[in-house]
Amino acid sequence: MYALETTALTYHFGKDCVLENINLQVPQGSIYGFLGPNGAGKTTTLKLTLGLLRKQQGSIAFFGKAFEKNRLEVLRNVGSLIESPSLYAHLSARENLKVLQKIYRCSEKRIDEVLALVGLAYTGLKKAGQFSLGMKQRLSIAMALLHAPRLLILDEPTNGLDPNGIIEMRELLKKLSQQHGTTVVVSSHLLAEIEKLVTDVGIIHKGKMMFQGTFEALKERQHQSSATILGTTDPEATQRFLVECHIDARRENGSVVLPLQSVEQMTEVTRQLVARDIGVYEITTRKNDLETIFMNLVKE
Amino acid sequence: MTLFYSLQTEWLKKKGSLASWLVVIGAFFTPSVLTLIQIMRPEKLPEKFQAPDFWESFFKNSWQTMNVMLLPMGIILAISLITQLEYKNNAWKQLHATPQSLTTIFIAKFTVILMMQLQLFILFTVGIYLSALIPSLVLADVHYPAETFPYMYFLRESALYFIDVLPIVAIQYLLALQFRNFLIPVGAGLILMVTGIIMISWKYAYVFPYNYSMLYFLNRFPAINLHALALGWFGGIMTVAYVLYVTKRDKG
Repeated sequence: MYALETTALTYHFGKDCVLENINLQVPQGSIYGFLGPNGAGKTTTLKLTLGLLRKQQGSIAFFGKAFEKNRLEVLRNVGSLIESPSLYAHLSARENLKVLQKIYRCSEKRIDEVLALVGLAYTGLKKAGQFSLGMKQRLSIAMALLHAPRLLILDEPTNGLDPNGIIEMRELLKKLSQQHGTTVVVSSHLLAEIEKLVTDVGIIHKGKMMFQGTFEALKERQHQSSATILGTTDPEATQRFLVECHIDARRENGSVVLPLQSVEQMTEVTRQLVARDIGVYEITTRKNDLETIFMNLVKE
Repeated sequence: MTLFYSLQTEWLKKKGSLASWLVVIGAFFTPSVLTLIQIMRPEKLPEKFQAPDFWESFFKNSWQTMNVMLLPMGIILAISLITQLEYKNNAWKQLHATPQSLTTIFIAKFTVILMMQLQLFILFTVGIYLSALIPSLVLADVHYPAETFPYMYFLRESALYFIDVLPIVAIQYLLALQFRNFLIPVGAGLILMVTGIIMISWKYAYVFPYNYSMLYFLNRFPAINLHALALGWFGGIMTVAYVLYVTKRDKG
């Protein structure tokens, strides 16, 4: 059972198809990074899951329960921050939390707890409208956490945070996941920003899901896309030899490209090539970082 | 029970907002001006204050400006400001992601608007009373009105005015819920209000929902019960407002 699951979620704005068959699967207890460039469809997907946009096609379920039939029960267990902070500028941080505390009917003690958690306990009577963007963002997170939700949906939560704030946010989300078992969905357009945080990843581009799986699976793809590049005096003969050895080699810009090999394998390959009178003048390794994998996925 | 908590939150949200100040300012504006005029021109006051129907004519006098301009304008502005609390603060998406039905949110917000209107009427009545009391305290020749304060008259007349402006409240609520841009409900409201003033002498003025409190003030009653007509408009517009609200495509 997934904390959040969408099936064939499709959405049109007029004639434009902005989401096509999105099958989001967020495992319970995971920290799910929902990645994609700006305009990829992340916010539209998250808004649809929360009922903020009217669903057109597909289905949405939280903890195995259909959203439409169990809207109130589902929303009682979900905390969210979508796009910019939703704060009443004329109210203080405490009053903003009080508004939600009444709705969720949680204890008043929780207000102090979440204010302390996000480092805003000192703000007193200061109006939220006078807060810096970072403080507003932290207050929004406090509001999302107030009722201790089982699932937290955060859309670009690090917007407006300084590097220190980003690190603190990362630690806070890790703590929530590890100590309270909270499932977290966090969207971002920067892989580097969330790669130290997430356990699972979904990559969306132009309304289509390009990749979904564990972060380990994404790293495996990184390994697979890394390569060894051989510069030899006879690339054609080199490729022929490697294919005979069941190595998937191809020619690229006058060099031979083969999957990443171990030191022992490359030593043996070089020895064999030299024995066949093929001169080896270059052996380099091309290691794709995750950002390159991400960029390649969204280019596909 | 959910509605009760929703009401509490909606009431909390308006705390210190421009809309809540507008109610207080709107309620005391006319009585303040009236008080000043009376103090500055006290010649006829001693006789006027001792008239047997002082309170009734004083009530009508106070309602004159309130009725034609200030009350409709106040309603137009206050309702737009209440929904702007959500638009301006990007808070609709937060509100719609809380465990409340759309019906609860719709009713809670509207109830707060009605409560503010009630607050305005009560404060205005207090203002009317004070604008009679203050000259009698300040001016030596003017004595407190001889007529006993007619509670029931004030209550009945205020209640009827309250009913008569309900169509305006409903239309403005509908517009303010639908449009993010503050100028649309305010602009449309002012145009409709002026249209009402222009057509007030027309024999079919009663068909226009912005006219009922003015027609009642002018004692112009059509064959149909004016207050029932206002309630009919109110019910119909509120139904449309509700349907448009719950079926709105983008709730964020």
